[in-house]
Amino acid sequence: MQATKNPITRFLIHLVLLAWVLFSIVPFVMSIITSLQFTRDATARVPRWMPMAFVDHNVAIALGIGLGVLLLLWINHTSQSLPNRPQSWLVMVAIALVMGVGFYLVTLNVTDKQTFETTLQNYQTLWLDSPVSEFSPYGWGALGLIGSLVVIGVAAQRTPYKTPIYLGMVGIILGVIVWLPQWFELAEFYGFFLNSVIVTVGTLAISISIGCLAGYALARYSGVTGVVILFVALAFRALPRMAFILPYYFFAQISGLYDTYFLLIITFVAINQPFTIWMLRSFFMEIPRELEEAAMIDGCNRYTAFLRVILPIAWTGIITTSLFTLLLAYNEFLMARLLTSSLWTLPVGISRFTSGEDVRLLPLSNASAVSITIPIIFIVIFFQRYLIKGLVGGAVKG
Amino acid sequence: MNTKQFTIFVAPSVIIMIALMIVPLIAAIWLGFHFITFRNVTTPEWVGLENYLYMLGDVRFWNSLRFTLFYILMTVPLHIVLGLVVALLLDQIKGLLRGVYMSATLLPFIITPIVGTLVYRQTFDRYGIYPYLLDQWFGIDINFFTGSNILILIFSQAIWYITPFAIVTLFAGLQTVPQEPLEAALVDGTTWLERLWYIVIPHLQNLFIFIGLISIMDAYRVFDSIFVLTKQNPIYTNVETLMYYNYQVAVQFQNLGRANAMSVLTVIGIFFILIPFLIVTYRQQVEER
Repeated sequence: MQATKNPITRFLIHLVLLAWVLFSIVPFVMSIITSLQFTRDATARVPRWMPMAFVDHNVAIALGIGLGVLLLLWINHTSQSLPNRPQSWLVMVAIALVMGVGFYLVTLNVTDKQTFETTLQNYQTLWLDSPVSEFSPYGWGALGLIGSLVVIGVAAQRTPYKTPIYLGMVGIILGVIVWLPQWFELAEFYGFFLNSVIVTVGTLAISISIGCLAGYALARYSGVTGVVILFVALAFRALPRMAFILPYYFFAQISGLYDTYFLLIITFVAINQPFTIWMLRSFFMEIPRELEEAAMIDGCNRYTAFLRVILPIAWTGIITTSLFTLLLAYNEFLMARLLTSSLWTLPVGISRFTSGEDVRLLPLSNASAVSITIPIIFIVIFFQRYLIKGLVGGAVKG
Repeated sequence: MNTKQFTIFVAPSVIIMIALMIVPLIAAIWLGFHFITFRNVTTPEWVGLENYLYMLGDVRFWNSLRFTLFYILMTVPLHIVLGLVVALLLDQIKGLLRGVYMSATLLPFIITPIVGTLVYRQTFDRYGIYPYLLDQWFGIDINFFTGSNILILIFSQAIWYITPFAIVTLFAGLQTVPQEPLEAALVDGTTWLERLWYIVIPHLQNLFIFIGLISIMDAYRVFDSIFVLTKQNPIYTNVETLMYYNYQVAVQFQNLGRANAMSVLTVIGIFFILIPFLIVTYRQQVEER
């Protein structure tokens, strides 16, 4: 539809969208704030939302916000190679000024009742069993590692060895995660995190590899069996989880697989399989048949053509589907809750805060909520392109 | 691709689906005929149709079914309409801000449902920001956790959580609307609403069916949000969904036989609801082939 030019209408549109965005993110913002509080501040009658440090250093932070916004707008401006008109610079400076001055005025007007003292104590309770002083050298090391990995990742984009470098980075990260407990005492929550990582990675590996085979075959085969398989898979997508979980529990108890990684991984794979094959099939259908036909004339058979010609092209679709499978496996609560007694994943770990009777646990529960969310946010920031593509791709084709 | 190659390619996936979806489903029917608790899982005791008959006569089962249908009827149309509105507004914006709005909107949809619901609940709880602001700005003193007030919480959380999906898909659909008829209609002097009603919405028809299908499936088996929002407090029997009551039967009452019987009944229920959608999809697939 044509974009409207009327400034009042445009202002109203922004206003409505801003209201929607606020509705979406206020719970997360409040959660981050509460996770940094002591219990006495978290349970104050007047919500305390402004860190005292922000008020104490308000001029410096206001300057930082202004310059940061200006830098961000400038990067956006140049990266989209928009025309360099004086008006656009004026607008950018004005936005930065409004943000900086706005922050400064807000800090001037908060009362003592609205400020709180920040603390990382909640995160420490969740993650560490040893004192922070013991952890800090490793903490700086970890920060250094993350920093260098980001630099390598950005640099690798321009080289032809992108894929092996990325796989190596994933390997390093997984290695550090698994070996971390060998070096110092970590709390229970780290165990949940480790379980989540193992289960998610296992599910991803199995689900995507068998899903690729099936998705490709379903995209190319024209027999009735293909339609029947797709249709049955769609029907399974509709079924309530309980119908599977209770029999899983029964079989797991009989076979002795209860409370093992294998059980969690294989059941997550099964639950995600309908979605995976539908999505991968739609990506494989976009690849023209002529490609593998040409490869087969050149001496490939069906299997080598798939491995050497189709898979490398389908990379985007595979990453997109992996992203969704990862989210499904990482987010699953009910199955992990009922099929484990000791191998709790993160969603099960946080579920002990959900009864919400003890308000003293408020900061701790928020700290764990933030801790669970951070990895997802990182992954989504890195793969945002694929996420939107996946939602869009599945949708436009129906 | 010939049949033999096809068989080899789909075999791993199909074997997993048969072993871990079809077999468990049959097992669920079979287990429904038994008396099982967590103590005698490995030695079920045959009781015939008793569990099924009990569940069919159970008031809480019918209440939870009624509430689940109410939940679907309340949330699915509302989130499609809201999704269309926000998508249309987003379509009017270009550049950096669109990306910012889009990412912020997607946030509740991406993060772990149980965590999202928890932080959402806390903003409405005793020390939350919303009750305080309502009190300060409008003088409304409201406890969202008493009586039927919890319905506000449940439905608004559903909108908060699932609408981003509708927004993004409909936004993508809006990018594929053909421009020629829109321009022609503009020349003919139609209003914005007329263009929306006669050109854009018919173009998005398939998408509405797709979103409806997915969200009915998800709303029918909603569990995480009810589990968190009710704080597992037994006083909220009026807002039990099928999945939540099923969980209660299994975990609280520890009667796995009845829980299995109930899950079989809910599976039958979802098929009744989805039959029209499944027929449409099947026809589409056969035509595409």
